[in-house]
Order: sequence, then structure tokens, then C-alpha cells
Amino acid sequence: MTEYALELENLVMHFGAVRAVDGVSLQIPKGSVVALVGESGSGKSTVGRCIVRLLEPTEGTVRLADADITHLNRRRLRPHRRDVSIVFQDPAGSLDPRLTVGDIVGEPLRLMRRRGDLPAEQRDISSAVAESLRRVGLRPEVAQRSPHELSGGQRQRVSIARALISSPRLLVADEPTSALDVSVQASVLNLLADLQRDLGFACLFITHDLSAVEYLADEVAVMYLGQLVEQGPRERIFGVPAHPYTQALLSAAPVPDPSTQRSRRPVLLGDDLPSAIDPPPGCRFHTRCPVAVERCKTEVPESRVIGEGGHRVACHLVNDDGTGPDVRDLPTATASLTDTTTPEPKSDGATEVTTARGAAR
Amino acid sequence: MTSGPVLKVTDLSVTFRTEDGPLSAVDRVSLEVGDGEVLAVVGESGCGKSVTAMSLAGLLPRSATVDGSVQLDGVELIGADKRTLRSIRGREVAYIFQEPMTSLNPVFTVGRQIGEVLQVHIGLSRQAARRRAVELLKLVGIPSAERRVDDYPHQLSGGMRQRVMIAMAVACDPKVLIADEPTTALDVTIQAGILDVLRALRERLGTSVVLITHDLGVVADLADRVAVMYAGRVVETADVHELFARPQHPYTSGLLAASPSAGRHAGTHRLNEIPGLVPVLASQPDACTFADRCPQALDTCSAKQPALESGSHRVACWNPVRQPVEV
Repeated sequence: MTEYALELENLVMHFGAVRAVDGVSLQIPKGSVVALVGESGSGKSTVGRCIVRLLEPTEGTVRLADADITHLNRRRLRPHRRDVSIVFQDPAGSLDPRLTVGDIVGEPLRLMRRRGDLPAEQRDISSAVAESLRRVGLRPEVAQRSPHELSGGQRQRVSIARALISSPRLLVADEPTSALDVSVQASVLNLLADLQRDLGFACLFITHDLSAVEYLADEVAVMYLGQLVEQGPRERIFGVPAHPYTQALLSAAPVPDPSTQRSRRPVLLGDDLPSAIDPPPGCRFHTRCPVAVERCKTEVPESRVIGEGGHRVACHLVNDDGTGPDVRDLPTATASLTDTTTPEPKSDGATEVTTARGAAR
Repeated sequence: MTSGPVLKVTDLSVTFRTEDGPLSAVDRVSLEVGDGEVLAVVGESGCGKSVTAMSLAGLLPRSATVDGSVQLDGVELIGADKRTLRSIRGREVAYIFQEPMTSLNPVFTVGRQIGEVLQVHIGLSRQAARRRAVELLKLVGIPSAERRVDDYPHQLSGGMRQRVMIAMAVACDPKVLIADEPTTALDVTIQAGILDVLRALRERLGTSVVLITHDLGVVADLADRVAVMYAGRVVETADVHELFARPQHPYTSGLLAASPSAGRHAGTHRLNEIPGLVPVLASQPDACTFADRCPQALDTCSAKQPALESGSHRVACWNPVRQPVEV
């Protein structure tokens, strides 16, 4: 039986009227990397914050390895703090500017020592800090410096060193490379992959960038307006994506290769993202879905297994064997009807866009 | 593209006065944009790409010293008086910025803001400007434009706002459109729509475009030609297909290999790293600024600055990558 580092059961997080997360169930097997992918406002970061209990979920359960931490108070939560760490997107905003790097990285251990639950082998905090810095590729001297003296990439390495110093069983990485330049992004992604392989922690990698996770993740979960629309093994999500939204996401990200990119046709979904205060009835994606039918507007699709490795999808149009429509095969005109077509006769319209692309090649 | 370039930038240098002394942001950059051509200027944070864009129509603060020449259809813009610049901005050179919310005025309807451009530059009446605003909103793919024209910016989504910015920019049919990271603040599914609009407009209006971006995917999608910038200098420029297929500057090839791309990095494939950091420069040295990060640097590289070779594929490097690299 698979052992899980994390189990989320029907997680719900509402902020007043805003239904940020609305029933997310997800398991992370021990030592594996699950990518949680979604666009702005999908609720992916809120899920991360519920897991490290920066937020107390409205409903549902958060279970770490063996403990239900959903509603533990601060004191009862403390023993579990060392089991789960988080790295945020913006290292400048998440490192205290008045502390030295050494203080920042060693802080989790100092707090444990104060409570008296610091394991014997980590009693020497300064050597633990040096070791943690070395692991993330920083020299021990960096411990004396202030965060503002470091570059963005170095600061993100400091965040990772702090997150890993307590040897957590689960790391939540919330867009850890989105604020970094391409070349620096590559080194931080490589570092995370190496550390994960060497130390064996489980990881929830939250991102909006599907291309970044193909290289890291064992499993991918795709989120839209507070709910998971599809989840499964990486090869399945990239190879045979079943949900129209996953397909659109994959087709939308431009590929850094001119010939390939110009022969692709992104699925255009329209600009209007519905609000999480008043999500659409039925399938939440139906307002932007190019293949939605009547049923999608009224009936909420259940998440069900459609393939090996626990590949699940919540869409009425996907058959039980995983076959179904692929919005990437639609002529662009249909996909972008609400978007680029204007009422003007023949002078505008998506068909012309397609021809223009053809000519540009 | 038989006629001369619409925009010709020659030896453009920008230095900022700062509390810590001078800062060289752009060093003798030369660029040419042909009629109807899309030139992408690519680079990472701090490479000087946005400063270059801002200096083209005199948008930099007074702490900046700008040298060199920027000619728009033969008219010199560097050192031009305020009146000349004012008549050119918005009419012949138009900008699209990264963050549409901060570029739009929250207290006026989008129709009024687009209309203002037309009233000021072309002298349309208020009614005519409004009618034209509706047409422009349709052109950039805003559904029910007749209704949307009376919306305030906050009533529109991020993608819609960027479409409004584009409508405003092309309102006077400018010769050159400068798009500074036009899709960076947007989600990928929204970005795809904006790229589509830019592509369609370029085909329809034949506007020359300077596309400033850090995203090689966006470059691959839109550009005809590419200039790669590093630490204030142009290090390589070539046709877009040529540049991606045969990058010659080690920085360009490193950047290409560092970009994650779906379908290319599955499994154990590692991303390429470029060690070290982009330097911040007080003054530009007589050396290659990439030398200390370069995997194939020679002694010459830190002793003498390489010049851009002439030709259609130009590279400023003493030891360029000559073999096609596998990416």
C-alpha cells in the first residue's frame, strides 16, 4: 500500500464570500513530487497555505504522514512544524531584512531548541546552518551577510536552506522560480531536483508554468477556480491530457522554437475569467470551454478515474476509457469565436488570423 | 523591405546618475527596424532592454544621459525639442507597457481614453473619436465593443485591459509600436489571445514593432529578427529562425538551453545553467562583459571588447559557437 506524506480530503477554504478553494482532494506519496498547476486566482497558493497551516481550512482534512493537522491550535501544531516547510515566490519579501542569513537559516532549529525538542545530532546550530548552506550551493561565509546583499537566485537558495534545515518530510514550493530570470531559474530548478533526489522529501510544487514541471514532477494536478479538473502521472498529463482546460494550457504556452511555435495553434479561451465569489454553475470551466454542451451548464462533473496511475478527470465529455474531445484539434475559428471574431463582415475574424499565421511561415 | 529602416538606432548609450555614482545601462546599442518588421529585443533583468525602449521616444527621467542617435524615418529624436517629441509620441511611436492597470487612468472610461488620443493627434470630434474607439476595440477582439467602450478599466479583466492598451497604441496608425513585455503580467491562456491580436494587427496594419521581452517563447512566436542584449550591449542579432537554430554567442546558446519547454525536458534531462550573475556596471569595460560567466572564454575576452561582426547574422564574440548546438 502506498504511504502518503500528505493527504488532502475535500479541502475547502472560503474567505467570506470568496470560494478560493472548493473541495480539493489530493495525495502525495512519500518521496514523490506533485505539481499543482493553475493560473492566477485558481486557489493553488491557498492550498499550499492550508497545508503548512498558515490558514485554517473552512472544511475538509489535511493529513501529514500520520497526523490530522486540520484544526490543531498553535501549541498542538508545533511538533508537526518540522515535518513540513514552505518556500515562497518572492525571496526578498519572505526573508527578514534585519537578520543575517545565518540567523534566518538557523531559526527553525533555534525555535525547536527553545521548546526542547531539538534532536541531539542538530545541537550545534551553526554547523547545521553551514551544512544546509553548503547543500544549496552557498559558501558558509554567506551566513554573516544580510539578505539584501544577495542576488535573487542566492536569496531563493537561502529560503530553500531554511526550509530544509529541519529535514521536513514535505516541502511546499510556491512558485519558487517565477520571480527569477531564465538562467537563474534553471539553476534553482536543478537544485530542487537534486535535493529532492538526495534527501527524499515529498514535494508539492505550485506553479503556473507547465513547462517547468514536466522536468520535475512525478504527478501533475491541474486546478481551475478552486477545484481540480485533472490529475495523474506526468506522462499521462503531458501525453494524453483529457480535460479541455489542461489541453488549452498545454497549447497556450509558447515554445522557444520558431518553426514549432508557428505551426501550433493555441486554443483561445477568451479573457473573462469568472469570479471565485460567484463561480459558474455546473462545470466551472463551461463559460470558457470551446466544447461545452448544455449538460455542462447545469450538472457538476464528478472526478473519476479514466486511466492508469490514478489519472482522474472531472469532465462530462471524457469517456471512461479516457477518450474524448481534444480542443487542440478544433479549427481556430471555433475555439476563438467569442474572442477575436468581430461583427464586422469579412474584415476581421479568426480565420484571417489563421491565414496570417500560415503566410508568416 | 526595400526602403530604408523605419527606425534606426545608432550608438545609443544611456547613463544614469545615482547616489552610488554613474551607472551605465546601455552601451553603444545599434538597431534597425524595417517597414512592417517585428524586431525582438531579448535579455534578462538589468540588461538594458527596457531602458533602450524608453529612450527611443525620450521617456527617461532627467537623471539619465542619452547619447547617440535615434532616427524615425530620417527625423532625429535624440535632443529633439519637447514639441517635436510630443507630436511624435502616441502618433508615430506608440508604447504598450507590461502592466495595463497602471497605464490606464482609472477615472475615465476606456472609450474616452482611446478617444483622447484621436482628438489630440488627429483632431477628430468627440463623437467621431468615440465611433473610432468602438471600431478599434473590435479590431483588438473585444466582444460587444459598443457596450464595453463605456466601461472603466476596473470593470475589465487583465487581458481585456491589455487589449485596450493595444487599441490605444494603434489608434493613430503609428509607424513604430514599442511593446515592452506586453504579455508578462498575463496568464498563459490570456497571453495566447494577446499574441494572436498582435500578430493579426501586424499583418493588417503593417506596423513595425519593437518587442521587448525576456520570454523566448514569445520571441519564437512573433519576431522576424532578434537582438540579444547582455549587460547593456547587443551581443548577437540575426533572423529569428537562424538565431534559434544556430546561436553563435555563448550567452544566447546558454539562454536557449536554460529555457524549460514542454516535451523537451521530460524525465532526467537537466536544464542548462549559466553560472554567475549579470554584472551591474558603473562604466562599460573594454572587455566582453560576459567573459567571467562564459564557458569558452579566452584571454582576449577579458582584455578587449569584441565588436559586432557585419553581416546578416552578427555576433560580438571572440570565440563564438560555430557548431549548431543541440537544444
